[in-house]
Amino acid sequence: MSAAETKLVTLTVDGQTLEAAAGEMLLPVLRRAGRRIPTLCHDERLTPYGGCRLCVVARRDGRGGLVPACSTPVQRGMVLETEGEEVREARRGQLLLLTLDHRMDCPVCERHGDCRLQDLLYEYGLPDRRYPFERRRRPRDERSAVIVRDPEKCVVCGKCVRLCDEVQGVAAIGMMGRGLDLHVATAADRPLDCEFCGQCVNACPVSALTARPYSPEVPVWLREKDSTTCSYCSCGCQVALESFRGTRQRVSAEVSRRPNHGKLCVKGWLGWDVGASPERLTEPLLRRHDRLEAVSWDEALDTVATALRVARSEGPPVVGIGSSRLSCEDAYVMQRFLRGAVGTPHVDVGPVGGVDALVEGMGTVTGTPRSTATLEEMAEADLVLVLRGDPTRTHPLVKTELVQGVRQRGQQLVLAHALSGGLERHAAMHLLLEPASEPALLHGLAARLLARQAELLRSLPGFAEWSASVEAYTPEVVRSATGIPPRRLHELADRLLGARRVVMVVVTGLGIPGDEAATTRAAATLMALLETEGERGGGVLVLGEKSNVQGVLDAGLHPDLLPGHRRADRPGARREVEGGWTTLLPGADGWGADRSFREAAEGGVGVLYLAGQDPVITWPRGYQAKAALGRAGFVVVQDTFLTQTARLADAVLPVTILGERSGTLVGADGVRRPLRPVLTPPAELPTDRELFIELARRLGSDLPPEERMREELESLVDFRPRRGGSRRFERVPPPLRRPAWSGILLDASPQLFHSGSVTNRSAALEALSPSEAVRIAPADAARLGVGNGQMVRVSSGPREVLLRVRLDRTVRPGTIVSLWNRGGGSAAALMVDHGQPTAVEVRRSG
Amino acid sequence: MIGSLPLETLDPALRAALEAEIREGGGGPERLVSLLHLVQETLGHVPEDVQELLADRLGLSPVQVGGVVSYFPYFSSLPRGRFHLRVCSGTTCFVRSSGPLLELLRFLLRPDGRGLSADGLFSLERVRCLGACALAPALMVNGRVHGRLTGEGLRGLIEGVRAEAGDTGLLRLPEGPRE
Repeated sequence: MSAAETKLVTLTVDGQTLEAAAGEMLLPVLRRAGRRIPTLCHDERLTPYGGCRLCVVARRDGRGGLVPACSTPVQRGMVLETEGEEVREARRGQLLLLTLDHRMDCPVCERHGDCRLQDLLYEYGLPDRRYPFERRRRPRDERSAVIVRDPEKCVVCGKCVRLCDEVQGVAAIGMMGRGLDLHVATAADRPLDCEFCGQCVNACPVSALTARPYSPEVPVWLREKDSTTCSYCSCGCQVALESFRGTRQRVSAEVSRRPNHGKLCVKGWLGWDVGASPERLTEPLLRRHDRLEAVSWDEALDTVATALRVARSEGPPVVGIGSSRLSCEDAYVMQRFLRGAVGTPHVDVGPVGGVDALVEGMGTVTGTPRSTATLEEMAEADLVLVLRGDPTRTHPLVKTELVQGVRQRGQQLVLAHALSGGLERHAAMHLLLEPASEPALLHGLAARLLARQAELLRSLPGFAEWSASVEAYTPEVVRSATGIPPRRLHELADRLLGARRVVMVVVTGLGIPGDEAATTRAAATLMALLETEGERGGGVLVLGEKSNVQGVLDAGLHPDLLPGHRRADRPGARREVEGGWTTLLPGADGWGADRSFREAAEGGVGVLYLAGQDPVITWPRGYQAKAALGRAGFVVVQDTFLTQTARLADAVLPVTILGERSGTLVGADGVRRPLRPVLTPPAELPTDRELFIELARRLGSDLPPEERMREELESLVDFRPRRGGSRRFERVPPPLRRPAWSGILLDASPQLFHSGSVTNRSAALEALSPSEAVRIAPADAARLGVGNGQMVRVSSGPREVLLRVRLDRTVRPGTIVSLWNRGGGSAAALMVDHGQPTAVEVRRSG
Repeated sequence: MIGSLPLETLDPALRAALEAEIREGGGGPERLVSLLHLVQETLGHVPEDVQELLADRLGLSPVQVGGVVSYFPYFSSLPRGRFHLRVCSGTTCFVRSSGPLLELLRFLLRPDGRGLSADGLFSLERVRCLGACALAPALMVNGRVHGRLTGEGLRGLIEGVRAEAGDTGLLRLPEGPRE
């Protein structure tokens, strides 16, 4: 409801006159007016429920009686009393009924001091147990590896059940029975099998739900609470960690804080143990006699500095590839070190989902490598078109926003992708496309809308060429490329035209087939077409794969982009940076990761410097990582673990992980958020930026002090979210005939429990999704003659990996699902070009 | 046909009937209760695999279907005997000694944890009130009320049913007022 439509009415509360919007529930109105209204079952993220009856207030306007504030709408002329004996007596009555069937373990309860029921009993007094009642015995359910349920503590507020359904869209638990027998249970009382987002545990007002990894051993008043930004994906969730002497006691999120409003996913909730992995590196290593040996920091840094100095003066060049997990500050110092101190233009972030979509996609159409919609705009849109992937697997917070959009706000959700993830249950339209055919679908929609919109756009740059090229995408051509019949294409076009606010979401992630940049350009262009009519708003939201894709691009960790998105090939932009640095920049011909690796494989790289990258196991085969590492003059790997790549390096420099340092991350929504050192490293370790600063010193090309470089970063980069103003149209390539498709499609895109790199080091996540390496639909398995637990050979051309089978009903026949990096069997070894769909053959082994 | 289907196996005819109902009447969550009626009336209970099938077709989760089944006493997710006995424990029946009658039935039928007798002939359920207070103490056998029960009468009722089921497979129950 917009402001113009809401009607203000007056009501009287405890003798005071208030104004409120008619139709709004009483509870938020009363709380805004400073009234303390107790609740157990209310949650602002959920639709009103009225279950616990603790929020009752008395009506004194002739309508009489007690009404629940949470589910009673404001009406003109209401007269209410929020305190007083009648109200207090009613609340005491409710508390009496709740305590009759509650196991009062308070002194030894892990929620002692942090329990909403206990708070209320302090406030209202422990009621006399005036009814004879035998407390019902119900056993604790300890079958889940993560969540323990204690039904004897449950107050049946239903928050867990409603969050699981309305917000998470899973409904793994429900209310069973009625009356006194009402209880929370799973279907057929099976062990809990869900997404393990932990929202039920964090919302539980009592201790009916607890987390096994975080069962607090010490009471709340002894715990320290710290908050930081989750660094798994690019959603930017704010997380609160409670700890006691270095042990984590609880991980939660605050309902009042953006962007996640108390929501977390399994990674943000449980994935905080990676830093404590026994495989953590704590000492630098150097290669001697073909073995990596632990050495002193002094020796390691001198050796690396010498290699850099030799390469700098005698060539072949130094190339540096960082990671989209670096903080903005680390990324800035890294590119400053490489461009300024080492003097090489070859700086890149590596092949990570979202970089091309932002730089080649948004950058081309709008002139700025940034999304044009935020998460909040997506939540408020009338129609959301999600392209390429399912955020359930890659960006769980986005998934919950979409579920809430559909369930609570009547949003239309349209999914267009080749690989599903579960969100289709909530979609108004689900277009299951041929792999990599998203651009063809979008061009087809543009061609369909062109006739209506052409007049207004004719003057925009590139329009004539673009419109001529896009007209080739007739409904029949789109059908042959995507598999989507004209009827559904037209239905989607009509839905787009009928919606006032449209947001298109481009999901990225290594292993999702298709050209993310082409899809983003097509989406942004289609958006420009839609925006020309009426007051339609919206934009394109690119979901970068890792936590700081946007931030490292802003900081200049890209061969074509200097800090602040300044083009490396524009003299004016170069002068702005050089002026601040008092250094001349190297040439504008920097290599990206693919070119760097090709050159290295040919012996054309002096020092290959990798910070937070594991190309051997996590990059597609096409990068020829092993050949590049073998032929590069000197290989430096800066990482937290002895990765497969580190094993082949000449020098390995251990660093802290994100949760252990300070800095900032920029989320997919363009908002910059702080990182705080909430975890303690197992040994004294440097951060990435400290290493670069120290290496520059040893090279004799001192970088400015850290504080000074932070000021540089702030002056060169404007982190405030903003819109690209321009719209440029680019000719689209002519339609391809559908590629001959045979075999089985490899789905190696990220999974909810594992994204393929850091998550592999989390014991908690590992416990939820153990090492089965390939999931196959039962029908396909029967056809192939393989069963659960058997080994199969999965091959694509000459490449082959050995994987263990797990049958899975949720896998679409014709597709097999495997992580691109999973312990021994890495599906990445089968992918040559992660933009292209990978067809595989599956055979029984032995 | 109560009790005539193997337990927990989805009859193809029932499956076809459900699919046809969903095709014709639409597949939204609002269809759930009428489809549960169809299953309950056909099988005598709503097995868990049928609940899962309905959840899948109606866009619900299995636990949400289970919640509805468990809410209405009319539906049961557990199999019932060929004769489902509902013993009233409402106020009037309670005062008129329905408790000892229930104990007697437990003695006679030896129901398992699910309320089912070993021969599958009877299932036993204690209900709140049948609304037949004038006939208290009362019990309902497959939808037919039997009132003013005594221990002796109850024994006769059960033995009569057993004998007839054993002898002929044809079942006649002593007449009582219709539900």
